[in-house]
Amino acid sequence: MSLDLKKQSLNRFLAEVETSAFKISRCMLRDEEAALDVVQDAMFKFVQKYSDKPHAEWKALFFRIVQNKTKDVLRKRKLKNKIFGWFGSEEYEELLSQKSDFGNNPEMILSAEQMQTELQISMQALPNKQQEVLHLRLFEQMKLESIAQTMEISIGSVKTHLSRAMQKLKPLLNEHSQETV
Amino acid sequence: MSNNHELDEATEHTMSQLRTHLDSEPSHELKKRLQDSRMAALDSLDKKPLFSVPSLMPALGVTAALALGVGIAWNALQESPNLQNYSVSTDELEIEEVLFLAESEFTQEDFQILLADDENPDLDFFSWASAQPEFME
Repeated sequence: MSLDLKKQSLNRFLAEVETSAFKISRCMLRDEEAALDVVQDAMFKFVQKYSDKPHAEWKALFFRIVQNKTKDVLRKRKLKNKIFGWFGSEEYEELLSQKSDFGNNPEMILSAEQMQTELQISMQALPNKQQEVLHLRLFEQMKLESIAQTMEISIGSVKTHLSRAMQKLKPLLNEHSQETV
Repeated sequence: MSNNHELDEATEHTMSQLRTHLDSEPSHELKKRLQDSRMAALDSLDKKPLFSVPSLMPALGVTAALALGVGIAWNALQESPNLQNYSVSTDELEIEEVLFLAESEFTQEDFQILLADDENPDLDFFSWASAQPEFME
């Protein structure tokens, strides 16, 4: 394939997946700038190292890179918070206090933004595999087979992870829908 | 009844609720920046080197690099065939982190915090590293 054709093909592919990749990273990091950086890094890595792979494998490879790079940012944050703990985790503590306030005031109606924050915190509390499966289904609307291919796990495991994640998040969603009725 | 490749109705319903709350479209400006990133990545294809210094050093193993702990080993490792095959797996980042930490002289407690996750809360660096084929070569 000529370089121009290859670039056209890559351009079409990346245009299709970039928004959902951004949404996944944004949801995990809760930071748009950091998510943009992750997607950019992932695009460079994909183009440089994996664009010679068969087209059928591109999607799984790209989302695996995005997830790995996002987790890399999370790990670095975690370490930074450990080293600079006295001020590094201020934002997280603030969000945690908001979470407990919601719990102490069941009559309080959550704004859409608060609900989003609450859900993101709850999603971050899920085990890693559950989070990864959930993000791919939620934002990329991947089929179960594709998720299984991306994560290198069985379809049965994908279903189990999704089902468990939903069971954990459902009470929060139900609580919100009752409050807003 | 759902077939093997579908989720049950309750899970799909909860998923749909969740999407309503979280699946907001990025702004026009953000989409433009994503597009710019894509173009920059595609341009990098023209500058892809035919070979690199790391590709000339495939024999350098992870263990040696850990012992050396110098920048050139770090780059070589990231490009080595072993890690190439490993480079899109979840563990790639852990290897990078471990190499980074090895150079930074962090304590085992730091390793533990970095590597531990919800599924392996008690994972420590040495048991993790010993389970990695790259570390055993």
